[in-house]
Amino acid sequence: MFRVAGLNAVGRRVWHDILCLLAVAALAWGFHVVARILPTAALLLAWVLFTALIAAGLLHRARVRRRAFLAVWIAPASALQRWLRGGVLLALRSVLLGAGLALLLMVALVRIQDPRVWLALIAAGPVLVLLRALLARRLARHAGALYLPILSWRAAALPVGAALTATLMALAWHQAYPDFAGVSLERAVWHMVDQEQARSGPGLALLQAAAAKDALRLWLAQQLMPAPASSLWNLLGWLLVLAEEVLFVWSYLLAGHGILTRVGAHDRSEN
Amino acid sequence: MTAARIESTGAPAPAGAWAGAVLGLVAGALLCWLVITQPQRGWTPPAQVPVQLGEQHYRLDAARLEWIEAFSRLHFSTGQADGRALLEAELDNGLSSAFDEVKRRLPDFADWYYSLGGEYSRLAMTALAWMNLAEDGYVARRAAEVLFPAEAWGEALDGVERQAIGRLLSQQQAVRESWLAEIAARLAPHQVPAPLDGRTGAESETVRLDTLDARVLAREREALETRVAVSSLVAGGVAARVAWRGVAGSGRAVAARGVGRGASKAVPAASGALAACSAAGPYALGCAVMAGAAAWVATDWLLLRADEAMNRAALLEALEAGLAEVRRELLADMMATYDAAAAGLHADVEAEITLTFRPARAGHAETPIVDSLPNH
Repeated sequence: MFRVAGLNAVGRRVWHDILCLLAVAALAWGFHVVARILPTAALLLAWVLFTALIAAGLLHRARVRRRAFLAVWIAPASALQRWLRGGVLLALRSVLLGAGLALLLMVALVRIQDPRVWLALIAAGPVLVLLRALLARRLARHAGALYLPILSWRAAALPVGAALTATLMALAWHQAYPDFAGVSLERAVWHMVDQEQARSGPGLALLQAAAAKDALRLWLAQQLMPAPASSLWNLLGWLLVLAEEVLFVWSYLLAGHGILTRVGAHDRSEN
Repeated sequence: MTAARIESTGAPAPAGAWAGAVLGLVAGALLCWLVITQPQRGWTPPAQVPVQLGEQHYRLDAARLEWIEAFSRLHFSTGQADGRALLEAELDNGLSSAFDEVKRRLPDFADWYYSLGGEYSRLAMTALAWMNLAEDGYVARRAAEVLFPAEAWGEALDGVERQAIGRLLSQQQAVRESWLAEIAARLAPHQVPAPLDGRTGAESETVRLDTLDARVLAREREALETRVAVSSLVAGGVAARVAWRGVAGSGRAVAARGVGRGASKAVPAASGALAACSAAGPYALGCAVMAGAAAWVATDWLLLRADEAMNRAALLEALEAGLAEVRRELLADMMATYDAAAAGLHADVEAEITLTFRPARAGHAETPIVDSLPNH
């Protein structure tokens, strides 16, 4: 039971975090809307921004884990505490991973065609924050203060991410795909690649590569399956879709976590 | 959940939480409205016009298509000019052979002309024409019968025309083939896979070069179905009249001499016959008629031989000159007929090229444009 002052503080923090995740959704949607007409320089700026968001979340979690490791394994007076506390190398690792995930996220964001995907992404933010607040309260008595924000985030992100992935899979399942039966792989790839247009040359190349990958997956699934929904290739095709959606959702949630670690109410104090 | 907890305490709702809730709900609703209503901004690249040649598909920008259009116009125009020169040479050669055949019949005509039968029939037809019982131009008609026998002359002209048109069609086919080869070579770097549905796009957006080839072929065949041998000189009678007109004009003495022969030999023949039959008594008159007639014919024959010896070469020469004139006029008439058909063909081919490349002009975008793509 919260006191009124405490409730006020908790409520403000929850809505603050919700607004932060809505801002991430708005940023992602804004990028989706204008990405195809952005010049390469603007796309690079967007890449830097998304990389920074994702890397911030990754670095935050890595530092917390490193702090826990040091607290358990290294004596407080040891010089190793200073050497192993995580500096440039940890940041570099996070940035590299973040850059890769940001690229995947950006390409996926641009290629979203169903507005229901956006509704699902927008809804995921508030649900995640509310679930996290509930779990944080439940876990407060069991988890350490240092690890509680990350634990509550992971505990909330797992079901929300799974639900989001399931939603995206369901939307992908009901999406209409081109018929590649009796069509050569070259024509299938050309058909998909030809649909992509962008002002930026590198941006177009990335979109076309993603389209070619989709064409290859669809072509394999349609050409090699002896019976719909029962072949190994069909299963592998959908597993690939699942992997893509998982990567997309993970990147998106990492970007959300990244902004919370910088301006969020729960995680900022842990930096 | 938090609100439920707050209500359970019976305390007033925290203002900060309510403000955050309202702000969050408004922001979320606004974002949802935006994602539903606002489409993604699309990028339209510089126009790439779909082109189809046979089963091959290509994508070209407007500048390259403009070059191909200009090349096509120049290629077909040059091909038609070359075709005209070829046709003229072929017709000239063919007519030369045909008129060589006619020339080989000139001695036959001269033989008739300097024969007694020819002489008397000419005199008789002249007399009948004078009495309005026959048409003028008997000699020309006879020349037509001898020099331009209807069947042989018709076949000769048909052969000339058929051969020339055949060569022209072959030349035009070669022109189209070289055009296709050049176009295919130019298009090769821009080949793309065939679209899924078998079409490059809407029919009005595709430059169908194979269709242009077929249409040009159809236009050429249609144009060459028009016979070039439509001159009045194709008729042997007209040709012979023109040839004989040349003879009459250049060697009037040759033609007039025959008319004067009858008058010059009538008096000596009659007086000779009366002298020879004066001893025949009651049969003297019959004898004189018979003898006179024989003397007339003999004198006529001798005079014809003399006339032939003196004028046959001139007659043949004048006839050859007349035939050369006929040949020149016939060739000019044939080429005029072809030129009229070729002008129509040229206009048709130009129109077909313009029609074929219309999508290139329609799709010519000066600058890329930004448009909105529907989400679905």
